[in-house]
Amino acid sequence: MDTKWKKCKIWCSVFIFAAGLSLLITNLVPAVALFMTFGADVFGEQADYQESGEFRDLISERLSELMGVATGGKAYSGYFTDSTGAVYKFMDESYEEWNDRFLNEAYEEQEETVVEQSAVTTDYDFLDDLEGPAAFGGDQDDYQAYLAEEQAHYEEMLAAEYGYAGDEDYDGYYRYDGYYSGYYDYSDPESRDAFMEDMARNKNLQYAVVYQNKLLYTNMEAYEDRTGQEWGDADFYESLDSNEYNFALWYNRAGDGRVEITKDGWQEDVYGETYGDGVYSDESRWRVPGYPNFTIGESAKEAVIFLAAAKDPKLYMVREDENSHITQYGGRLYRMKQNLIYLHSAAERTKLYLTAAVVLLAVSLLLWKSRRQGVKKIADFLAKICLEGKILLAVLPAVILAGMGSGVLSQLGWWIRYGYYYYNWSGDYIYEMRKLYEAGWYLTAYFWLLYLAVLDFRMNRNRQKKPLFNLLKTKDFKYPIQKRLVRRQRIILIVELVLIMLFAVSILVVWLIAGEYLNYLSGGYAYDYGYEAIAEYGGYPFGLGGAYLLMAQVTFAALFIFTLTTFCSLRKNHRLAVDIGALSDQILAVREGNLTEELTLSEDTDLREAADNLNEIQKGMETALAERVKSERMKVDLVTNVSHDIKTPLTSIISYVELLRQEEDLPQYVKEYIQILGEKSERLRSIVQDVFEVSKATSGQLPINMESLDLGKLLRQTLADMNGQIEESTISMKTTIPQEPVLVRADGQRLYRVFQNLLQNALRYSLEGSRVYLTLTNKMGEAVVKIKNTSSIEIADDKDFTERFVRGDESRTDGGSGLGLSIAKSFTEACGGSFSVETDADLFTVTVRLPENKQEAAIEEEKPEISAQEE
Amino acid sequence: MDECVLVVDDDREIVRAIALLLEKEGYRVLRAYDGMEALRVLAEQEVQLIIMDVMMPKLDGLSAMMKIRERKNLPIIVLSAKTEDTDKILGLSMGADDYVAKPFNPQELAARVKSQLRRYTLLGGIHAQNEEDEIVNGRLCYRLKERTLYADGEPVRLTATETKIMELLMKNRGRIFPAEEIYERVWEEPSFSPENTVMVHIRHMREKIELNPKEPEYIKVVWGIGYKMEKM
Repeated sequence: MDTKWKKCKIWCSVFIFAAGLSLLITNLVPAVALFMTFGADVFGEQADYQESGEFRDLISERLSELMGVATGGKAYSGYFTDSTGAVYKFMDESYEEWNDRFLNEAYEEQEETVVEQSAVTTDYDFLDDLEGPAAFGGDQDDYQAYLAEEQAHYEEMLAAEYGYAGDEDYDGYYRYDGYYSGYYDYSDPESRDAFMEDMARNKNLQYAVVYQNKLLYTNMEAYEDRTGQEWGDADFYESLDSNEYNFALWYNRAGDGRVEITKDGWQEDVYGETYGDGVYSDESRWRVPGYPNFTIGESAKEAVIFLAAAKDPKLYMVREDENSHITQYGGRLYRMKQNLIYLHSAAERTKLYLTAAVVLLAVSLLLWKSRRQGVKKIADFLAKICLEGKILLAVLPAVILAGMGSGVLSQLGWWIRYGYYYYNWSGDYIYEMRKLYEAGWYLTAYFWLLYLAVLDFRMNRNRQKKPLFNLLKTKDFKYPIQKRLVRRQRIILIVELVLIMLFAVSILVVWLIAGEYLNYLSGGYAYDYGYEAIAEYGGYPFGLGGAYLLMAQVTFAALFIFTLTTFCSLRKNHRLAVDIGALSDQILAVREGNLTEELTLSEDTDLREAADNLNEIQKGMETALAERVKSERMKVDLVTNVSHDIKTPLTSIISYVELLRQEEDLPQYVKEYIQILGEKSERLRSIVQDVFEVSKATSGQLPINMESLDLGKLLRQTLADMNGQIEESTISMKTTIPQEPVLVRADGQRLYRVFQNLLQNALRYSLEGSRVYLTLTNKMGEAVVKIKNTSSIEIADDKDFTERFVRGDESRTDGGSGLGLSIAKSFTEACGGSFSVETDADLFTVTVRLPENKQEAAIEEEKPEISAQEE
Repeated sequence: MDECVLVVDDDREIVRAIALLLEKEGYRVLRAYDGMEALRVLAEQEVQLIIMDVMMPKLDGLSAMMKIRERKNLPIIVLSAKTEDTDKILGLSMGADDYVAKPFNPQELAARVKSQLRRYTLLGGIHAQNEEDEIVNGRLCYRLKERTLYADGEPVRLTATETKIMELLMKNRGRIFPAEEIYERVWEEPSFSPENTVMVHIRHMREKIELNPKEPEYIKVVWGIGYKMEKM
């Protein structure tokens, strides 16, 4: 239960951390963008749409248009002419350029809106059914006439659908609510009336146009009946519901060509005269005439124009009759307001999410211990994934994200670089805002990918890497080296071939299935539809898609060449692999002891020199080995012969000493001499025997009969065997031998000699009346026998007692051969044990270590039962 | 006592020393200095035992022994400076009755001669009449009914405990007994560190039955395991 809760806590903390950070990153980008574009205000109260630059632009344009209408001239966006042809500009050139750029986008959006709202569906299929020149029997004139007819038909249809004529027809008017559609001619009263009829339907904007003191047009209900009458000095404000229409602009009220703006009953400082210098500049709030540097012609001064904007704009939809489409009026102001609402709610949402993110992060900070555990678990999981898998897992999403998110992210770049100026129209920035939120998600995805990569690098750097190819490597160890080499290279070749196939198939499939789309991508589409600007604007000679395609083709070609190269080098390396294999086999043969066969590689191979060197080493080893064997044999032979040659005279000596000893009538002193002779000849005999054994043991020719035995019992037996000697001496034995068997694998006879020698040594060289300690311990799978005694004579520090003929007392009169420890050491080592001597002042310690034989324990226990049955 | 012993060695001093020793024991001694000479002496004289060196000129000891074994069944003691087990086994398997390494203890050699001769002359025919209540092992013979051990046909004086141990070992020749088991079977009580007690008795028994108690042939220690009676 407790662990379950703990586990839950760990994962919860990780989740909280991840959610908090994701929310933060996702919302930080739009938050920053919003802040940079609209300032801190956007996060506060919902903004008044009438405070936006877009609204002021619209009002300026309407004023410009209505001036055109009033004076009977023409009007562009930002220009108008009066009937005299004088051109009035409302903005400077650079600003105009900016506007042009957005024409297309805004236009496209408008087009979409209209199509969606259209109740009439028009059959465009006839375009697909156009006849070819063949249908006219090769008659060019007929065919041209036919095409012209169809073209006219098409244009008619477009006009019916969208309310505008063909591209070349600027004479008429564009739809009133369609912005910036170009150039209006109000000189024709009929077309002007139609235009104003449209404009009147937009109730969001109330207007009145007076020219030469005569009311020309108005959509204000109170004055409609006064149209065409003398205006006089009537007050437009009177009949206006100031609750509904809280904004009003009055041009030329006083006949001075200046504009007066009232909002919520307050008169605005239009020209910035109170707080500024009253001079028109790019930064000026209102782009209207009346500045000292923004004047207007005499003809325009005869017009009086009143404009009022609704506080809460609505959409006004009209469908005239069955054949016409629904037309929307008042959309711009309405959308301005709606977009601000959207913007406000987006800002609110962003604010909320950011707050949530901060709270979540704070919580995860409190739970940092569990979080760290969770992160460690994730790292552990990552460590289990093989390297190739990780790369695949990292690269695939990165590529996909790059493909999907690059447009969005480049948009973000635009925003950051151009900011507010770029997005002067609310519709645009709403569209871009959505992309920014999207960009936030992409950034979050990138962040987590990066986070995991950094985490893996930080936590698993020192762990064993688990690349997939390692699996192959461990698997193929059973193959000889040449096969392994070839196999490894073959893997590369196979991978490359598979990649080539994948590339080829994907290019082919894309070409066949998505040819049209590719054409579009490659910029052909743009040319087809006349958007050269777009195609060129992409910055690539063939367009973006063409660049991708070219890249794919180049990669394909590179891969192909690479594969070809690999294949060639593989063929070359195959021979090298065979030679390496032969060399490796030869090394193995040398190791196994085959020193006679030489390795011959052909003259021109890379490894010829290595093979020759190996042959030299082989020869050298053969010689050295032969010499060593010879010298060993000589040594043993020498010792055997010498000991044999000593033994024969020794036999005589011993025999005659015995004969002498049996002589009875010899003087006492002669008998003493004989006694000495007897003792010394006995000692000589034991020395000869010891020398013989030591020489055999050190040359490794000692026959060893290994069997499982109880070391404790062996020690007790040895002590019992030597009991007589021990009792005769003044030395007392202190033994610690465990009762339970300590099983070792050794030659019992040799081991007996070891301990016999050691004990004899101890008895012989110990201080009189001192104690000899013998202990047997059994730990860590090792049986350790320690024999400690106090030396009767001073021990030199630098003496190696296990060397032959080394003894504590240099005078050599103590009766030892000087071979006791040497024999003990040789025999212990022959039994697979280790032997060491330590001296500490007069304390002399011999340690014998033998590996414990655990496997034999079970067998050993069974033995007595079997023998009991024999009885 | 008029047994005749032939001593063969190329080292005249050794031959002389052995001869002197054996003559003191009351044997008649013939001498030869190589294999050929030994064969010649054997053809001319009645000999009860041969002591022969292995490495000799003209005809070596082992070859001479093979020739002798073609016609005679008398005991042969081989003397050699080669002390390896393999040399001993080779000598014994080629027909030697005993193998004595140089340099030997003269007393031991005399004892071996005595043992071999007694078996050859006195017990030569007895080997056949192997009764059921008798356990024979080389020089040793244990009579169950009498509870007596004979070495070379002569009774050995063993104490009661020694006899019990001897009976146990003789009955189970070749089997290894841990000291604990011997103690429990002979003393019939649980053992506590019996190694010393058992060893003392074994040492005494060795002195009574072995020709050279320092290099026992019959009662052996199997180091780290136990004790056993070698099966001859």
